[in-house]
Amino acid sequence: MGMHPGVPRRQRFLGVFLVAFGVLTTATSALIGGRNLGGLGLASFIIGLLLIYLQSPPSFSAELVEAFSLSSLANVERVLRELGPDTRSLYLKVHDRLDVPMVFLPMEENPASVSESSLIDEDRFLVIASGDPPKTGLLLEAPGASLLALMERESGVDFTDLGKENLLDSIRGSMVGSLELVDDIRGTVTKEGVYLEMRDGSLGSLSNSVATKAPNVASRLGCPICSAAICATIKATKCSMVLENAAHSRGRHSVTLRFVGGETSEAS
Amino acid sequence: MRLVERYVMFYAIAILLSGLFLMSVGVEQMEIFYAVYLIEFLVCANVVASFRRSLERNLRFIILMFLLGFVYSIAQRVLQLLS
Repeated sequence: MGMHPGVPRRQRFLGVFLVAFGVLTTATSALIGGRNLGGLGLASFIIGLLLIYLQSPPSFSAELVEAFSLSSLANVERVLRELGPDTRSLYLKVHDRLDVPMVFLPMEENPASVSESSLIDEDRFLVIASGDPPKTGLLLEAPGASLLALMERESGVDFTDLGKENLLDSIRGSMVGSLELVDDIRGTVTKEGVYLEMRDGSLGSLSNSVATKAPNVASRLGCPICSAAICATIKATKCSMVLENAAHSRGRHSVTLRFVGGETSEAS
Repeated sequence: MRLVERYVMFYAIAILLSGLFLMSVGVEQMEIFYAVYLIEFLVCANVVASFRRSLERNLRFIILMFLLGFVYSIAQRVLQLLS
């Protein structure tokens, strides 16, 4: 196995320098009989090898990620503005661990009456049930679905296997520890619903831009980061949930979810 | 600072401190240095790998190389004792 192609040049140079320094120190200490100096030479050699081999993933600024995703989200915003009336979205229950989390935005308020089984096999964007407005609406892939897949892959946690009691710790582990998407996440899980509050990290400007430039997406579907947390929640709780509120302010965002059939719970 | 960079830096500090400590107590055998560094490496790797699976996959090869080096140094010492 050779040198990793993703290793930045500066890191590789430092690694080569430390390996050479380690070899020279160890050789010199062996020649002059100062054996214990070789220990530091060995340390330098090992660190050098680690620097050469270990891939430090290229870092992208939040502005770059923003520039990549904002146009697509702005298009979704236009669709929501044109088609979607002022209704709350329903994050649909995930039946299988391989299912992609979907969100349904009904044309008429009363998402609780939507039959999930009628939507789960839908591969359509626009669902039309003539004579039943609550069942007519937009069926979208959740904005945070891909982010959730990455969270699961990197943290090794499958949210389908979790219960409500481990949900918050696992979301924190994935979003704060593994991917460093947010600085902190807190919340409460009650019988009626789930409340999550996140403190922005390095991607804070992305959430702000989504809230500013695509307000319908941010408030009704959630920004990609909020949406990933919601997707993790519906996967773990195995229930459909109504997004009651998604609020984005500078440095913080919060989501209030209600289990379908339950009452909203605002907690802090 | 990214997770990988934090990991390398933390490990570098750990082995530098332990190397200085071993030097100060007069340890001269390279095998002991190697074993201590290896233990520290495995502990750090386990802590970091619990956060990032892709990093764990990258570290597998290095862990294997480390262990082979350890087996080599032990074998050399055994041969030395036998002769």
